[in-house]
Amino acid sequence: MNAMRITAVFLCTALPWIAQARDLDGSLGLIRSPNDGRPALLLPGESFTAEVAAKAGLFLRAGEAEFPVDSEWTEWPGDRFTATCSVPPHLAPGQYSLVARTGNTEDVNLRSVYIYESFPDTYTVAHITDTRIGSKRHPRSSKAIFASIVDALNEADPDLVLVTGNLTEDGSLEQFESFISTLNDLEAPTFICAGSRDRQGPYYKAFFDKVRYAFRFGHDGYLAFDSTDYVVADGLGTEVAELQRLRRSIKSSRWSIGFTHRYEPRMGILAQLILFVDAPLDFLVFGHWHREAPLDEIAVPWGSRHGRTRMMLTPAAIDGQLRYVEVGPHEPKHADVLQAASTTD
Amino acid sequence: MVFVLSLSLALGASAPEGHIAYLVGTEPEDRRVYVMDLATGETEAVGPGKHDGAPVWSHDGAWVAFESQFDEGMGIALVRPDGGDSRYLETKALWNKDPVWSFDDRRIAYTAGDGLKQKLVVYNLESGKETVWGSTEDPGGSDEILASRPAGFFRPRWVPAEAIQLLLDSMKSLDDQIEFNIVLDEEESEDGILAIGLDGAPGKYTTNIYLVTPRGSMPIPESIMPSRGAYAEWAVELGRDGIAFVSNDGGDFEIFVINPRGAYDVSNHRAMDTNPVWSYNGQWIAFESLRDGPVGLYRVHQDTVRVFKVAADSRSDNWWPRWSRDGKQLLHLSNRNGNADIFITSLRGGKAIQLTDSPEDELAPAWRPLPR
Repeated sequence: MNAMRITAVFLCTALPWIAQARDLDGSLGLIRSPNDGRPALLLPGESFTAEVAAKAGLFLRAGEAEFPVDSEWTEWPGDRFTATCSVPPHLAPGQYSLVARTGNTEDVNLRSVYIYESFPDTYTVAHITDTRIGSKRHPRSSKAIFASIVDALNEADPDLVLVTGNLTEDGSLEQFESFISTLNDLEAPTFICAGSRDRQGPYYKAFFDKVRYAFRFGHDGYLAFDSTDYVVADGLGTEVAELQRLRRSIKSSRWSIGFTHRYEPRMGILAQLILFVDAPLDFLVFGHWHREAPLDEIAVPWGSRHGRTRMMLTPAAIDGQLRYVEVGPHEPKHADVLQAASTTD
Repeated sequence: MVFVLSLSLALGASAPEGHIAYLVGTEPEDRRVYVMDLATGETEAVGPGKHDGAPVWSHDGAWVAFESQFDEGMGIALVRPDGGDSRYLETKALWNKDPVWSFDDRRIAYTAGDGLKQKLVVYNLESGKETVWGSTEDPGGSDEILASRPAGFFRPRWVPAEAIQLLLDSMKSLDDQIEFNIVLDEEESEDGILAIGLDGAPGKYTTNIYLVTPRGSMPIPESIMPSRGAYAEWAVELGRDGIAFVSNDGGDFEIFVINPRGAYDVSNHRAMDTNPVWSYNGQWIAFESLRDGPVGLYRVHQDTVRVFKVAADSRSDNWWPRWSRDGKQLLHLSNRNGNADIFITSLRGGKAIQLTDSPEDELAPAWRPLPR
């Protein structure tokens, strides 16, 4: 992302609030979304939806400059609130933190709003997966390997980074804290989804809230989901309907790109029909395998007159690897796997 | 645990009687089958609480079947409504799901196997034996291929012999009838199973509705489907004089009906319609739809094709409809108060009664059938 030019000024010289980025342990506080695992991407003058635990004053912050956001609030069952936030049209392109203040409490979600002058027609997506923070599989620590990957990504300056789960070794609080502290050194917007290891405890939702969501980047639509959800909850809850709603929300995209930790044949059939038959995703980006694998070995077995979902697999970041994908008018092409970090000290 | 509102106060003289079985538990691994006495609001935990699945009553109301964790997989559990006599069926496969009772309650059908390639298995409760249905293998041991077989079966539903005959009668093509007869017993009529079959070769998988018998399986022929073409079908349900199912024939998922009057779309809307459930009198179909944004509940008359809203709003989800015996109420789920709770909504006036109010999700409620 280009360096920011902040023109408007509202300098926070002294904050009377108890300020913190997320809660002290790193889990989400007042602001549930957008967050640094699911940021809002928009043009000046557009609006985004913030999910907040209580009504609050909302601001966008870049450096020391702060800009109030006009918010239209809706209260939902279960004591949930959403705010439709209008971004001031004069705001400069760049990366912003979303700030919420209520009473004497301040909550800050870093890297949660990105404003663009325009969305590029052709752009680069970086895919990393299986960072496995806490793993002891290599002489070098998992955190150090991830930090080297983040350095490599900042050097390459991709437009988006997708991180497809197994962020942690066994989903502990300490591992999530460590993951997010390194993640926030990234400059590009990052979109996270959960892997099976991350769901061993309650912390994935505490740190990143939703396990399924969709977003648009210019002409293209992206859909994050956890395929294991549809193994255990198929048809009992509202997960499948939500998946259908998300799929439809990006149906008109130039490319529809799903990302998940793994393709799971045991997913509920209706969920699979929605994603791979009725309106097949153009691409499914995933990890889990820790290696390159023949596509016929890992392919989604579904197909329809609308086509077939093509697969994009990247080996594990814990092994120091990542991959870039160029997305544009022609079929997205993924580059060779890059060894971006050493696994030895 | 489960807080039950006083039904007698809330509903007065119209308070529903009998029992419902349902699941309690937000996280799948914690879910447990419960039974509630609607007259008193008393509840009883009857399942082992190990990843229990949706409870299914036997037709005489004497048993509840459900999938539940067993060893390293999922077994089929049976239990009395008071929690007694609980046991797991002795199944060969590690993974088993979607149990459904035969009409005489002597057999239970379920799918067995992991992943997409699931077999359809029928368990005889008297002999304790499993039989694989829909296999192309000749039970007599010959090499003759008896009928087509899809790569996997899902969501079985029993279908009586008379309904199979109705299906046959509706086939205008003699060739279709001859092919269909391959899977039927020549000597005597027998019940079969309608199931979703996984069709095609890997890379081109789609789904179709199959009639499955001990002799083999056969897709419902295109000649009686709403239109010819490769569409994905799901959630077939048997009514008194027809079948309802979900298909993406028409551009998105819709509810279709096949009955003696033809095959047609009864829900027609640009948003997804799914999970049809017939009323006991066979005239109405309740279904879920995203037409108002969140999941909502609607009903449609199979002949007039007029759709009525039952429980739907722009702020909460309402799903999992189950008809009362008299067709005047729907048992269902709603998260209108924050998480999934069980409600009964009257179709006349739309008055809703909340049955549960706990911080955990309640799911998959099912009315207990009246004793025979």
